[in-house]
Amino acid sequence: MMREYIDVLIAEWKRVRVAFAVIVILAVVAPVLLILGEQSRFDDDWGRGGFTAASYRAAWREIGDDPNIGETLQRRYDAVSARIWAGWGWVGEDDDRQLVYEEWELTHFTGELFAEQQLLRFLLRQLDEVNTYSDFLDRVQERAENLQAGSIFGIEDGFGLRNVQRTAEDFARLYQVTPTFDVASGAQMIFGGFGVDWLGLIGLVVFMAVLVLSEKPSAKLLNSAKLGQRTLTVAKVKLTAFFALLLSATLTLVAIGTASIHYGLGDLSRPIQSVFLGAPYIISVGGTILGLFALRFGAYLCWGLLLFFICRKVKNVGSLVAIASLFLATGTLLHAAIASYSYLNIFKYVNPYTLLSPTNLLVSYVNLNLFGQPVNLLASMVGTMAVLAVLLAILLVAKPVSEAKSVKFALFSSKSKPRKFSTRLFIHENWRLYIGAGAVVLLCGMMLVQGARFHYIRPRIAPEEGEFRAVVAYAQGLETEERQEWVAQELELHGYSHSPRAVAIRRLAERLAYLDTQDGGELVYETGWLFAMDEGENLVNAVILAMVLILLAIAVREQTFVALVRSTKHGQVRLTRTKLLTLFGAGSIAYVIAFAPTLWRAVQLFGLDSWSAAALSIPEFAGNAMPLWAVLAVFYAVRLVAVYAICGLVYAISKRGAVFGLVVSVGVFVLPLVLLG
Amino acid sequence: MKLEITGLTKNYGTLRALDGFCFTAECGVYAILGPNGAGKSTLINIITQNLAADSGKVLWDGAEAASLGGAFREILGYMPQQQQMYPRFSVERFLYYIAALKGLEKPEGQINQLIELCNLGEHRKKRLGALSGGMKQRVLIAQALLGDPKLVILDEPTAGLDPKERVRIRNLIAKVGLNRIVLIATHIVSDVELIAQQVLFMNKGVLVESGGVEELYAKMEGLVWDVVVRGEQVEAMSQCHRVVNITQQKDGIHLRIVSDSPVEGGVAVAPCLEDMYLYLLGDI
Ligand SMILES: Nc1ncnc2c1ncn2[C@@H]1O[C@H](COP(=O)(O)OP(=O)(O)O)[C@@H](O)[C@H]1O
Ligand SMILES: [Mg+2]
Repeated sequence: MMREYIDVLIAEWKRVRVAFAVIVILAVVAPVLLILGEQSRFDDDWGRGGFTAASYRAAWREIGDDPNIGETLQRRYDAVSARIWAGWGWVGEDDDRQLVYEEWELTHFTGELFAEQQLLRFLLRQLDEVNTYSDFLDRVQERAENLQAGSIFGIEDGFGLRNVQRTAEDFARLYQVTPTFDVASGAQMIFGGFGVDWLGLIGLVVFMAVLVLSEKPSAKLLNSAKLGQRTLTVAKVKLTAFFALLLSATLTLVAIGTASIHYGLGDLSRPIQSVFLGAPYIISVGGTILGLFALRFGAYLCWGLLLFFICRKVKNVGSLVAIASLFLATGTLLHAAIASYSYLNIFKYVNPYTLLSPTNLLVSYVNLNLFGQPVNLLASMVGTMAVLAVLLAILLVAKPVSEAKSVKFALFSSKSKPRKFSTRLFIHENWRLYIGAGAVVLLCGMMLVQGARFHYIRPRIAPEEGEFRAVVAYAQGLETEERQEWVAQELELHGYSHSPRAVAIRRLAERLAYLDTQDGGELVYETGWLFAMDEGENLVNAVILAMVLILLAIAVREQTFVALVRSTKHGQVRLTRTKLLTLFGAGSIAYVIAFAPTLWRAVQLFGLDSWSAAALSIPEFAGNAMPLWAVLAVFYAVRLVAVYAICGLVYAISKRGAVFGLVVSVGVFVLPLVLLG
Repeated sequence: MKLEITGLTKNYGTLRALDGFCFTAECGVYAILGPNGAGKSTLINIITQNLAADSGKVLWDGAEAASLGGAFREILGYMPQQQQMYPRFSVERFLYYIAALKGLEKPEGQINQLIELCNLGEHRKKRLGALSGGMKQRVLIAQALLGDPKLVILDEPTAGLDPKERVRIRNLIAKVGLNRIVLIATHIVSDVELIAQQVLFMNKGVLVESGGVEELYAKMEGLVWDVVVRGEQVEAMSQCHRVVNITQQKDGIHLRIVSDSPVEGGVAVAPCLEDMYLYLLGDI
């Protein structure tokens, strides 16, 4: 028996070991996404990126061992700030300008005065938090006392009060912890930022599809085999556990490696409160990372077994992904919809979504509301995972699947009563395009790409730009004469300094001079408008859009039975019209997905103000008397017309066959765009 | 209900695919028999308005089909030769799609009936891409019959089917032909022999012979001979006579011969349609 069991295990291992390659792929992808996710870590409150990870690393390398690190930082910060003030004209500026750019010591880590200031301020802020840790704890206790002293919590329900008490008790223990000042961003990167665990889920889905789904057709055969399903299932459950272990270890190690290279990890034996002020457990940074690994393993095991279970009930990967997504979507929805202190908060936290974010469990403090009693979330999750894993494993092993059952549970069953379909051609063509030809997947993919580009690629806003926006906003509020006076004053004050303020004022002065030459212009902060209509920004959008349109058009065009259609009452003319309509619909959706991110960025970062002002208010649109909104509308209308034109042309071209259509249209529409860029 | 074809001619460049083709059809199954390249599909393409004729007319109840346009296509059911369909559509969905193209308002009753009639009940949810050749042909026939057309045109409906499927489709066509005009183009005589009321022999774009099955048999009466020979004589007989069949039996080798003049030592036997096919079109 044992011998045979091991044979089965080995056979299964041999069959699925290629699927382990997915771990390698994820290990390569994870660092890229991790680092992309770090782009905004050092942005200041206005979304301005100042210093880089390299300068952060350099700073720690150099002053990390300094016993008086606090003083050193403060001294440097004061010096840099003084220079910046000087640049702004608070001190006689002629020589200072020279000083600022010659005295490299001041821009030691970043090579730039403002970035240097931001870096130093960032470090000082962290130092301050660490030094005042006991104040933080005092505040927790104080809040508890205040609330207990007859607050709404005490009156409303028992949980609020008990929760506050419990919080105070738990945090009181932390007085013995002394956080230290050390590189924190590395550890923060491991525990926060980009969700490595979403990659983990992808890996699990791939693996379970190979392990369970790909073998379905032979289930009958195995049932009749001597050892039967049970032995096989036990082997599969063990392989799932092994995969979960390997996957969680790999992703955790990759995150550690990436973080240590990107920022450095600092002393791993220091308490975790040095990194996360609100962390509720007495444990070192290294210990927390180990804990993360353990939790991750538990979460992946649960998800793996859950997917295993789903695989039993479905027929193909599509259904597997659909049901898994449903689970995840429900979890996410519950997590987003339920408030932290709600009496339903158990559903907020104990659900598939939380299983996918084990990073939060160790460094944040949450109590579940279990019939009015506060129960620690970490403990609950560990318990839940253990119970769930054991339960699923038992269920899987105890109930071997039978072929007949799996058909009955199939998401898209193949035998059932007659179904009525529409007799509207348009609906059929849409079904064919979105479901049949998979345009839904294509458009979702496009959305993902655009969303990722939106999320990861954010334009850097120079300090000068921020100043200019502020200066314009101020000047817009002034009467013409006041404005001129104010600008003259400012110019006087800042002269030819290179400080952001000075640069902004000079730009404003130039703009006002330009506006004097135009009829009917007004002072407009133009960056948002220019950004929204920027060729470079929209080039990638256009290329992606063109490719999607080509694929859509070819998919819509596909029609193998012309002769049959021509002989019907409505004939080919009606069908072609319907197909074009369908195509234009899909093209419009793709168009929105393509351009919305850039437009939204423009609104979000720069704003599209003064939309009724004449376009000529902006030098780039000199001579154009249309209002700005109209210019923008024309800009997008032209592109929409181009979308329809491309759709129609590709549709016409692909008459000669899909491959011909693809080659010609890529040549005609995409290559020029790429070459132009 | 009357289909008239008068003087249809079609040239592909220098190739004359159809040459002054004429015939008239009224209720019943009409078989168009001819070898590959005879021009059957060309004829059908013209009738189904997939192709314009160089000259000649297609008349429906005396009116020109081309000018009737949609009204003519409304009474038309067409099963093209070897057709690829949307592979992702299920059988049901595809039938509704065609119903939409045919402008049918409430086709569900019809579709369910046709699915039963064509024996597709078990496969109604299957994707077209996953059907066998025979099932596909049956789906194509079902779509041709959608909308209760008066004129049903089938282009090689049994191509690539096994004998069982063939018989099934033959019976289906016989049923359908009771109150319609059904035109079947094929080069397989046995497909139509039992069910056709009228047979049209066609070769190189020309109508060679036509008539009712009984009528044609009568014409062939006394032209088919059965001769018993020895093995070494077979070659010599094949040289000078048109031999349509050779069978080895106990008393020697039987040759079935089609001949205008009596064959030495031969016994006249009852003709079948295949004899006629080979008699008329055999020397290509
Ligand atoms: N589109 C075409 N272009 C040129 N020649 C064609 C075309 N379609 C058919 N033909 C020729 O016309 C003749 C009749 O073809 P067709 O009507 O398909 O015959 P059948 O259906 O009886 O086999 C053949 O010689 C064929 O090669
Ligand atoms: Mg043909």
